[in-house]
Amino acid sequence: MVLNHIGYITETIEDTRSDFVSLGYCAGNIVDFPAHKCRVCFLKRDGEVIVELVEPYEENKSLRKLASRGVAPYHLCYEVDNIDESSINLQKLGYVPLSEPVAAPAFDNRRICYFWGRGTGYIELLSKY
Amino acid sequence: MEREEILKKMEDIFKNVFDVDSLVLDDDITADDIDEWDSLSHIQLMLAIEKAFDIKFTSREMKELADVGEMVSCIKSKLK
Repeated sequence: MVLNHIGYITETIEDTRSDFVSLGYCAGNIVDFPAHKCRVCFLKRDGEVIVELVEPYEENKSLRKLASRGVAPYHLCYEVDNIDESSINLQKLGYVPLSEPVAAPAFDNRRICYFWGRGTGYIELLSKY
Repeated sequence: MEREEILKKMEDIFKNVFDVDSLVLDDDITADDIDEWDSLSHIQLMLAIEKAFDIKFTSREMKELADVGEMVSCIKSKLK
């Protein structure tokens, strides 16, 4: 389980992307992710953890509500060898699954899924393959 | 606390979490009945219920309590 990125929530991905670029990040393209009703963009800086910006669609009301509180980190994403096995392990640790693994266009259709843990908040798993 | 009292208190919580003023809860209400009730807002809902009733749900309960009736029963059992 290796940290892949920190997810940031935002109402306006273009604005937040610009702000991060001002901090020295290189920004990727904005990618639509209809299955999760959001748009995402990745920001990189050499040798550092990736930042993922997430802008929920208007109809994604629960995530829009979170975004309305301001730009903020809201999940950690871990890359795993076996997402199905890792999902089971997280549930054994008491994590609540929020979604079944789905193919993510922003990750070359590798599968992702989300969990919530009382001690750590929202965790995303990303399949390595 | 009786079921009716719990239900009334939960109605206020639901209205606050889902920003819906005109909501009337009954035991059969599920996520299918409320537009904003998805997996993310479900966590926020359960945390708000925990805070309001000063209880703690297990992770299994967080995951499996699927309708208002089940939630009320669970809350009632924790308040004894």
